[in-house]
Amino acid sequence: MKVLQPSGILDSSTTADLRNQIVAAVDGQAKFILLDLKSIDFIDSSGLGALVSAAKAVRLAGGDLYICSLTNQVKMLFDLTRMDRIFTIFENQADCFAQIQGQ
Amino acid sequence: MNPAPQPPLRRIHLQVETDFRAADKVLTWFEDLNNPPLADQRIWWQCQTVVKEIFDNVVDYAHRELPTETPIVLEAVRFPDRLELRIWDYGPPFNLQGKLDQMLTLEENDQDRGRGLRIIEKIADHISCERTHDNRNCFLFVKYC
Repeated sequence: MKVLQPSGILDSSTTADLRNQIVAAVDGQAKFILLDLKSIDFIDSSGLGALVSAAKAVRLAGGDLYICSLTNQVKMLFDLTRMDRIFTIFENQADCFAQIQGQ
Repeated sequence: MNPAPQPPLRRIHLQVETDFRAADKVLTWFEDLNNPPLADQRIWWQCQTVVKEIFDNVVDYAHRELPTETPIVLEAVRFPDRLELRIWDYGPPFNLQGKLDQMLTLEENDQDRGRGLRIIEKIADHISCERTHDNRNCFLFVKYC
């Protein structure tokens, strides 16, 4: 499992950088990617769209994209837009590792 | 008899250019309205989200064909019971309800686009978009707190 930990704001000005990191991870044969969002303090609809698009790319390559550690505004927007339909979301990294490895 | 209108606690204005890089400036400016902090911080995070979404919509759609220098004017007002946000743009007339009618709901949308306006609608207690006498659009968002 490859863990990525972006920081700051996730919007149209920063999504290209995250996309590049995810593409590099997939190219590097990472099948499962965990996005730890504990250092993202603000996300908007462009940021959400980039995550949805990244998840599709990772799944197309036969893997999956997990998300953990949502901060306040990020959790509010994930709840509002029902992102739980699209992503498996964990409390933190340890929780993700425990559940994925237990399967 | 109607109750007397409440005077605003705080009223702030900002003018920025049509540039995504002004988003930081907009969010920092808006922060001023959360002093003293709202009792329910979740409502504050929702309002911050709306400011960003409306600003991005102006840059991305309303002002798409217009030069960077085209001004975007914002006004935010805090009342004892609500926040009001107005944003004026120079885009073509915008049919807000018509646009919403064409969009997937947040629960239906599995795509990577088409959430911004739905997010604003879901958070708002009232939204509208009026054409002004000087041929601008005025987008109004109201949230009770």
